[in-house]
Amino acid sequence: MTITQFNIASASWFRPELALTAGILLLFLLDVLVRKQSRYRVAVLTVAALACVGVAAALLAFQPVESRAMFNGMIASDPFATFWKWLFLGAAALTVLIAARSDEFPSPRIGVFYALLLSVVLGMFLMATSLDLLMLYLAIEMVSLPSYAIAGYKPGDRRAAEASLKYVIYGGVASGIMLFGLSYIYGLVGSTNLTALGVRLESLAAPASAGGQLGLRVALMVAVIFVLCGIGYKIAAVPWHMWCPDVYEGAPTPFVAFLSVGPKAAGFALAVRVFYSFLASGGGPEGFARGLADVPWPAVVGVLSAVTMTLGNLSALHQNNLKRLLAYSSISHAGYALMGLAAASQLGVQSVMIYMLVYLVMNLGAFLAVIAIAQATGSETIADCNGLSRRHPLLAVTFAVFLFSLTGLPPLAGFVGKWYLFVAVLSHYAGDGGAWYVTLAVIAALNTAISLYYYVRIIRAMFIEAPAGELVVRPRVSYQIMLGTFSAALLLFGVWWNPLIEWTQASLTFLTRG
Amino acid sequence: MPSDYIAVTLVILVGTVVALQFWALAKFVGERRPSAAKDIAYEAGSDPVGDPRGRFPVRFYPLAILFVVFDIEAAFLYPWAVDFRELSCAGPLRAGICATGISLLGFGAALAFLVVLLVALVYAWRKGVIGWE
Amino acid sequence: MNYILPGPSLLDKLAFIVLASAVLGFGLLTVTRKSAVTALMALIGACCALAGLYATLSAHFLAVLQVLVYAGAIMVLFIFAVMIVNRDDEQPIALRGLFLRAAGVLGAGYFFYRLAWIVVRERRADVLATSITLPIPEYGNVASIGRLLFSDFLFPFEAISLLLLVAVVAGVLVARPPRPTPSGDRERVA
Repeated sequence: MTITQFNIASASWFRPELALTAGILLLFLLDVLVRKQSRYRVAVLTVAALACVGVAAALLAFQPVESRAMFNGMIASDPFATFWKWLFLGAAALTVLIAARSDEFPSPRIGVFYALLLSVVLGMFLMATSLDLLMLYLAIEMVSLPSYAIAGYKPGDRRAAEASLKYVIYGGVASGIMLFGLSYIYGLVGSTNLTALGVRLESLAAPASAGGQLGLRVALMVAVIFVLCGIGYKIAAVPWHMWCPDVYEGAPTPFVAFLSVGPKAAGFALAVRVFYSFLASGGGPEGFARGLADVPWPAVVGVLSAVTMTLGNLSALHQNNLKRLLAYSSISHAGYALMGLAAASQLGVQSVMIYMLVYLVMNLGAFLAVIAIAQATGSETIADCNGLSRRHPLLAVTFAVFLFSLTGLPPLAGFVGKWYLFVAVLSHYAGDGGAWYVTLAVIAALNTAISLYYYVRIIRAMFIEAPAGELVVRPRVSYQIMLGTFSAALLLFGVWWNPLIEWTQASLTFLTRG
Repeated sequence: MPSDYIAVTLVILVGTVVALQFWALAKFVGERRPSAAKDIAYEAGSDPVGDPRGRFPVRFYPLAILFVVFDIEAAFLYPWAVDFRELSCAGPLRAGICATGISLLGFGAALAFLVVLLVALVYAWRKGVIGWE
Repeated sequence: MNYILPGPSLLDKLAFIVLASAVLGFGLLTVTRKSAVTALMALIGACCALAGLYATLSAHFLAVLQVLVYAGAIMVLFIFAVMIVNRDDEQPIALRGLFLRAAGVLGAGYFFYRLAWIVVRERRADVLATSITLPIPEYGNVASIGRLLFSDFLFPFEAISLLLLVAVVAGVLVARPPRPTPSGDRERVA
């Protein structure tokens, strides 16, 4: 069977994923085999998890660079995917480091968290690489299932139960709707392969075959909207964002930090691939103005982007819980990043990649600061930040750096990310529908101003308000090191962003259509 | 093709008719003498100890999940078993006979699948889902 | 190399009408029954009727799986959930959020109107309901599905095993009963 041999041959491009799989199995076994009361349990499991990520990273570094489809067109190996894989591995390693010293993971059950975390990472790898509708759905489920479980991780905690249940119900409905859309697409085209799909859908929906095929175009439109629904859920775009604040509030904070950057980035990677395979016109990544089924999809994404950032920011204004506030802020950041997708150009994709990279560091940093504050005060409201600058200056200053970077103020890396998104959108200034792109940019600028308000509320509490009482804030040493490194990285790449540009530029090649 | 399923439909119809017929016979022909003892919920001959609609402990739930997962596993192995001869042959199968060499790919594919699920079984076992304290 | 089947016969149409109305009828029962157990039984009926529909569409293996997995295993899970929660007194229809609900009904109505419109339109254009082409004559039986599963879709097949593993672990993690914890398993409730 030649096809099977072809499948086996693909495995050599699949080593990082194989390493992750082996690591997941190993961690599950370690979790039940290492003695529960052992003093070294957390250390053993943490080292095992980090080693697994490290081996995957090493294999990824030595992977052949050429683009190719693997396992009979199921998944792709290309520079674009490799970029996201680095991002995911980085987020996973940092999350493991954060979780190891967190109070929220008691030693008997930290192993299962690591194993599930790595399963999510594997799922994200598949999301960023899938070239087939079936694979795409499987990958999304692979990310979602462990996330549902970790959201309800704290036993006996009502908020955790609520978070988990809401997550499952919203997630189940979203993936059901997406599956329904995918079944329509398969029914219309007779193929699940993204590389074949784009070309065949285009010929189906071409104006030449109009007339009797009008119904077909409506069916296509419905299908694409349903698929967008599934993706929108994963990146928490409005109107599929409702799960986000509750899950962020109820789930263990280190996992929330991961959830807010990892699956979101994976959702964007998937969105780019899907977008360019069936919503893009034939002329390669540079041109996909004319939409499938006569719907200007970039404009649809643009509207989604504007609504998402505005609603996210407005809801964040009156939040007092830091985790809820960061949840709404992460919704609005998904809105900003959608701008790059709406720009529908090579530059747009690149700006999304840069933004996600920067967002990873600043959001993980912000959540780390929240964890450090919560460890000292026992709760996570803005009032807990009062007078933090006098109790622990390093924590206060780095938290402020993350928040300013999230706002997008220079000279921080957040500014660079946002700048490229604006450039991508405004490069359409003279083209077709230029006025709409300018409007989108204006809305984004207004939103940046709004977001400054609630970020500054926290900063004001930290630097101006008086501390409520005598409370010693002493973040763990590993947290202090990470906080310092993250803010140094944001400062460094805020003034010297060439490496970001070069890396993303080199990673822009990807497989979409055959 | 529905015509392939005529036999199946017949079986379902006959089964339904037979069941209904016994119910109708009991209802219209049978004699009824109600008594208090007959109204007690049947519990293997002994007196019932509580309301049957009480809440069940949540520990049954992981068992149900295990059942579903291994049911799905069996469903995936069914086509594998049907095609096993074909999958184990390195070349094409001619009239059920493999003239070329043996291929271990079919075996390996199912083995990899089962090993992963074996880890699931070990995990559930060690977590005390299957046992009962 | 497509194998063209004749258009729908009277038997096809009859089977479709019976099965489709069974699916819809059981579905309606599922969402309107007050007792969760009755609703579940109706759902089993809907699943079985759906399996019948699959069978008429030449998806034989899928039909069997529909009964085995959905009407069988998944329903067991549902019934367990009902028995664990056991709230018979829930009102399935409440008056709260009437506006959103009306909007939902309108949206769904519009959606179904659109779908019906597609069917009618395509029927007039003679795209549907003429003949069915199957890629291979034994399309949809176990052997042909197995052949696809172990060639083109071998990778998803292996990936599913990992997904099932994660599902087991997630189920065990979420459904673990709260019990007095030994030392070292102290949970901090924020």
